[in-house]
Amino acid sequence: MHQCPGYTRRQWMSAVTATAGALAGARPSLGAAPPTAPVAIARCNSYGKELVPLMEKMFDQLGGLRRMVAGKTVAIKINLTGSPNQRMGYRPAELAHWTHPAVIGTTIALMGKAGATRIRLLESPWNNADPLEEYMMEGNWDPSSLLNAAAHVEMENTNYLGNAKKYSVFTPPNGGHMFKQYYLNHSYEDCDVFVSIAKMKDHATAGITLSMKNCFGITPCTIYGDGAGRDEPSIKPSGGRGSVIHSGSRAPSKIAPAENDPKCPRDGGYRVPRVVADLISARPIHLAIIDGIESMAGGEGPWIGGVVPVSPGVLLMGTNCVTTDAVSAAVMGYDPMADRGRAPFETSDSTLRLAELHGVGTRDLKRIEVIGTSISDAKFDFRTRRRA
Amino acid sequence: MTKPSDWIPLYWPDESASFEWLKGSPVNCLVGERTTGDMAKRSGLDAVSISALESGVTLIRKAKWPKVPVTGRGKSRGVATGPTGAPWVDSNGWISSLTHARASGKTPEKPIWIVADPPKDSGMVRGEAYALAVADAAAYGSRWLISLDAQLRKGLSTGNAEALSTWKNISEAVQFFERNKTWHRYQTVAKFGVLSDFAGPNEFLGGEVLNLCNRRYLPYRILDPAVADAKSVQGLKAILLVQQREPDPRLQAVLGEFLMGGGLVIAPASLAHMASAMKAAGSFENSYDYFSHGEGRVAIARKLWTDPYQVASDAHLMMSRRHDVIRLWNAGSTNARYTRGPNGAGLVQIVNYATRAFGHPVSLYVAHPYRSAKLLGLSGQAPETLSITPRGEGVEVNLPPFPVYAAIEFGD
Repeated sequence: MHQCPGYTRRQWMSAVTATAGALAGARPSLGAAPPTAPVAIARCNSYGKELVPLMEKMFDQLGGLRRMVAGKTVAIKINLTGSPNQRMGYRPAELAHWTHPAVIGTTIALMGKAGATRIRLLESPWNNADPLEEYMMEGNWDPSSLLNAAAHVEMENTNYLGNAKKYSVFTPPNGGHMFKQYYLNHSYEDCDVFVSIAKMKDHATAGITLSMKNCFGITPCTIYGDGAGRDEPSIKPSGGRGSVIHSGSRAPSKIAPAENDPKCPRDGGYRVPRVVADLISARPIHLAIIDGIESMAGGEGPWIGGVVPVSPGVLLMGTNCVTTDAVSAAVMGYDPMADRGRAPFETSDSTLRLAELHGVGTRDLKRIEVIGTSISDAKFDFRTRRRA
Repeated sequence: MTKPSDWIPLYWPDESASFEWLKGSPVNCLVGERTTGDMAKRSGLDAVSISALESGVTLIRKAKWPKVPVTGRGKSRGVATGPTGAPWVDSNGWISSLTHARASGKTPEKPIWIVADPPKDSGMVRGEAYALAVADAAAYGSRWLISLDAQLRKGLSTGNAEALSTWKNISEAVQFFERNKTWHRYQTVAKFGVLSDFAGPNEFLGGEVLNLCNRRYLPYRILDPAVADAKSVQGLKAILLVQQREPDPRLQAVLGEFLMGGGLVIAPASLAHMASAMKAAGSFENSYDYFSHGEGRVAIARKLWTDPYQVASDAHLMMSRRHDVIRLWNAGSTNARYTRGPNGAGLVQIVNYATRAFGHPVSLYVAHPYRSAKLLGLSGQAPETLSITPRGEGVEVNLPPFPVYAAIEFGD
């Protein structure tokens, strides 16, 4: 079902073309209407075998994977937030705050089938430089099932320099909301296609966390972490990003630029959405996938008080991270046009609005085509599920 | 007189006390500072002076009062955490394990007692903290020489209700382990070996590595370089040499066989020359160089080891977590010991140094396809059957909240 009846196939193809332009590094100019792109929604109640045909269909609804990944190196940022030793109650992390390996594995398999030459799974796990495979095993995952889902699959922990000789530099448009440049692990540069596979969750600091907020974790803690070196990046990451990014109580390592305005608020609700909007405009997301099959409401991880398990039973994907997150927010029962003071942004600025300001995409549902299940049919109200 | 191995001892420094409250308790031996004849007469129990114990008992005098240490004062007061954010715990598990390993070939029947007094500045110590002292020793096959704070001793002598309640906690914990004495004969399940004489330059690093392996839920087999042989390394995937000196030819042959069979030997920088004839096989995190030998590999540290946490962490990762025999979730302030009995039954004992239940309950994974699991606790309630979820090669069980200790018995 299409939710935007006036939106034609031709218009959709032009949106896809606009995304292809972004792939080539084109950037919308300030003042132009932010681009749009369709978002596919599907109901899905389990991580079983039905995931393969379902995701295949969704990729086809977006124009097909082959066009996007054939002959390319694909980098996939997954979400393994928090410590692998932490669970929400008895629920394994993939049924609460981590993207599920079945969604990741299916994506890898279908990309391999579509001709991707190399697929790299990326994450900056909290507080460590362990190989990603080892981190997954600590959470009781079997990484070999992901490594064998297609040919030439690799993993890299991007929380530090890794095996590269230097960090890659990314520049957000318009001087950036928070930093004018970001120094990241080479993996975010050494790829042709960048994919964000996120979990559909509330977020204590940023209101919601979807494909854009997932990319908060691409910042290496050797530079942006609590234990980062003052002048040079530390060799290994230590701690989270609380002091540099959330509270601004210290600067990143001097290798990276300090924040644009040292007098700006020291409030995570102001800072985190700006950093996220900067990151996803400097390192564009070509494909956003939202795992909303099993999740949690009330926060982004078990360390947040009052979180509860939820089963929204929904998958979303799109080629524009802002449109995809805007539709996902609507599925969660939130108004994507809301800003600070209105749910889910009671105590934060809206990452959707800030990304829109960077010209990445529109959050206006009236301008976004929805393919497959409608928002109203997929809707799962997160706020009413929250524990008081 | 009861055999030392059957003694359930209580240290009692005040010879003039009444012992009426001890009636019906599991304690059968009083340990005093000097003369003990009068104590024996008044209590009707065996009584020995602590100085006379050494002939029948191995005392661990370097033991700590088990706890989660708190640092700072006022607003900065908090739990000390390690590099991973997990809290430090003061545990005697590693020193118990080491003492047992050293005694196994020499005095296996001699009981090992932990000597650790409660803190002097905390008023009456909580019953859970005492139960922890019992469990921290017994889970690793030792016995805590029960030692009470002054306020508790006074309260017990005068029949104070709170003191008697605390004593009940201690008695229940002791009785629990008495009922399950056979567990002491179970063997640690481990795929990781630590080879060291734990003496001289190897003493501190070796001990701390054992301590930190416990914190990583990485069970280990302690290998004595003087007697280690092919049988003692059987089943291991990796051996960490916390040994600065070159192994003698006999031990080199044992390690050579282990390598030929596909094992990993992790050695300090001081032994780099031993790999000089081997083929280079890559590196680990710019910290170790790999060399191949047969089906296996030797990892040689590039620098001198200074940080025991890093040594334990690197060794764990080089062996790979795919060889983990247990994993736990939401268990930050716990240590766990995994053993197996002669009939193949598995036993995981979890000691919670926080002495209070967690925010989120604990889940446990054991890398063996057990078919049944039951939970036992210190209070002596009937065992609770746990449901089992198959997961990879093993099973997961979910545990109800427990403040101090949980034992999970697994059956095939």
